[in-house]
Amino acid sequence: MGASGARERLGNTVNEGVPPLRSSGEWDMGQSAEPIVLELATLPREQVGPFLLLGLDKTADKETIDAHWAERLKWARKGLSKVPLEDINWAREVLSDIERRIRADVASLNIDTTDGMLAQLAQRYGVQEGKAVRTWEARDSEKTLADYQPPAEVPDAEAVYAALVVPELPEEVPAVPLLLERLAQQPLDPWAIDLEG
Amino acid sequence: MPGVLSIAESDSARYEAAAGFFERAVQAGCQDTHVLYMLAMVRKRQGKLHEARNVLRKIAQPDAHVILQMGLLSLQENQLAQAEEEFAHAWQMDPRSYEICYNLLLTRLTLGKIEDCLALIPAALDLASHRLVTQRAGSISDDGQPVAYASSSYDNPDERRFLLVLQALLQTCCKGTNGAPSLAELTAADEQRLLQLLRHLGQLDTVHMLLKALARARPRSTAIREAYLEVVLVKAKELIDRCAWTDAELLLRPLEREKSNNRATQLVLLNLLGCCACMTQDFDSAIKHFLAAIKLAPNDPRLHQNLALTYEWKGELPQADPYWNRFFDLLDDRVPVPPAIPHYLDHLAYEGLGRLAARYSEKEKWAGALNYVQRAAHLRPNDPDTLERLFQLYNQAKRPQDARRTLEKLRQLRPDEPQYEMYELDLIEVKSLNDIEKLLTEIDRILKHYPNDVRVEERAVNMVGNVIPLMGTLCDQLTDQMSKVIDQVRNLPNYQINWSAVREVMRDLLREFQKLRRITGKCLPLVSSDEHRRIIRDLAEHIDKKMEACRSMGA
Repeated sequence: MGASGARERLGNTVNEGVPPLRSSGEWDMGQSAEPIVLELATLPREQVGPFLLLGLDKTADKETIDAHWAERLKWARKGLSKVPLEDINWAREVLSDIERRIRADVASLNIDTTDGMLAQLAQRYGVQEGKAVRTWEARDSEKTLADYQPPAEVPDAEAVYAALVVPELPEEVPAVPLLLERLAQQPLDPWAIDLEG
Repeated sequence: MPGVLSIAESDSARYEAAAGFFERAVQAGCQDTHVLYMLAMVRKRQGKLHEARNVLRKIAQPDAHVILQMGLLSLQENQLAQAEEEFAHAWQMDPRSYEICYNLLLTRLTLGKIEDCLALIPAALDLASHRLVTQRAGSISDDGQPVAYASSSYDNPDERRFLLVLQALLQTCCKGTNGAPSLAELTAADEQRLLQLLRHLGQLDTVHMLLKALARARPRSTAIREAYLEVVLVKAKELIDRCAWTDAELLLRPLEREKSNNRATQLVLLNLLGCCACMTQDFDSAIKHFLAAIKLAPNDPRLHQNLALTYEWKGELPQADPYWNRFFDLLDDRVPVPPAIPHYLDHLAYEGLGRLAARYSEKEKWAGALNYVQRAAHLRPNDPDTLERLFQLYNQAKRPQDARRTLEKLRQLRPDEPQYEMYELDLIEVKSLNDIEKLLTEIDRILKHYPNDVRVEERAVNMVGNVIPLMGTLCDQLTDQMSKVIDQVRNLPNYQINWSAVREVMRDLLREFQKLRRITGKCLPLVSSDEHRRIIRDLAEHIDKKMEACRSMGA
């Protein structure tokens, strides 16, 4: 089994526009200059290699391998890729084993050059992890709410203080008024109040 | 750097504290639109996009600001279609917002909706001309970073001009004409800004289409031509990632004729063309492309490897040799390697040499195979597997002295390995019946010395299997000699026959047949397959008949 993407081959005269054969069997001599695509024998997956099957550079780490494998599984299931599922799984299996991976490295083509120029170009055009993403800076304008005060009713402290009914103080504990006074003077922390309790 | 980090840390702490207050207010029942909005903004700055969106959704009557923020969140999540929908909604609510209009325009551009962009640009131009500056210092960009107003491109006085340039490009793209006049008059700065925007669009199909139009409109611009070449290469890579070799090749071929001034991109182009040709089994074209690439970068090991593999797949192993050798020579620290695999390049070289040795062995070119295994053994001088291969190849190449020396080393490395005694037998040159007898006796001895050793048994069976045809050949030679004597006896008159000489010859032949018969007897218990047993029994029967004939002739 091999990558079916490797099954096609162009005629050598793409730009010379060899006229395609119509379904009726006549040669189409019109303007159409579609190249002839010939079906050749499938390249074995060992020849395509696990790196090309998963779209990986030979330096890929385990996380990248897994991410590419998962993505290609999705593509295969949705019919977005011609690579069979079993080849995708085989590729991951090979790359998970260090010895098999090294052997596959020796026997596989390199899509990128040693200095990684293609990867740099891809990055320049926003390709991350094999997917192109937008990197232009959008315009943001947030409302200016730094001085905003929510319309909440805040009671007048003096009125609240005046409305308090002071309980009768027990004579046998003379320190109570002093303690209460101190407690009343402590600052209130509204966030410490358990509203639900 | 530490200063930046401490600012980031203090920002992070402030956002966390602010979010805490807002959350508690909301938990306490506060449904104030502005409080919810501020909580969402804090979450956005913290990068908690999902939470920010959830808070924005709680706002009962969202205004254009809220919808704009939702659009920005969608953009950050790369949900372009949703972002477009939200910006369009916000734009309906507030058609005077330049920010909304700009974001909608670029989102549509990213999605490749050229017509929709063209429809929007007049409004954007109008807003860019009349808008009031409302953004304050300290506001944030969509990636959550504070932006200083003075340094933001937002306040660029060339905004209107940029929109006009973009409009001209989109019109050119739509009409397919060879360049609107304004495109021909672009300044270097305009061109740079346009290219900058296109490079950040993130949709390769759209960028490709726009750059193609731009390259047509400005054929003399080197920067644009290079950008176009770059995007084609990146797009081809995208196709190759899906194993769509033919589509990638179709995309790249037109560029083959245009010579780029940039050596690096030209190199990438040639390499990709070579890979596509190789994968579509057009090996001649692949070789042509790889050779051209190597001319540009003679010290790139990956290119040498590609070319060597292509020659191999074409079946031209000797042509691949120099490129493999160069590849091995160039494997040094500059070559990128995967993380977490120590000594990767050493392993790579070793496996490569071993692989080539196997290729040559398959074609029975022992000298070539020997050369690569010798190099592999040089890399791993104490690796028994490599030395075993080396031993076998020395044997195949008829170099018994080297084979013996290698075997000695193997014995030192694995002194108790029973197989090596069998290897010793490989060194015996078997030509005569005596050699065969000696070999079988030794095999029998080793088998008895190492009973139940599967590997020894297997090897013994193989060796005996190799001897059987030789026994047949020797038997045939003896039979021929005997037939000649019998023919002469039958055809000559009795008085001309030297009977004493005939008897002498027959005695010699009988002795030889007896020896062969003894060997078949030794051989029979050593074979395991029924086929071999049958052949030996037939041979024994044949020998018996011949021995009888010898006796009848006076032996």
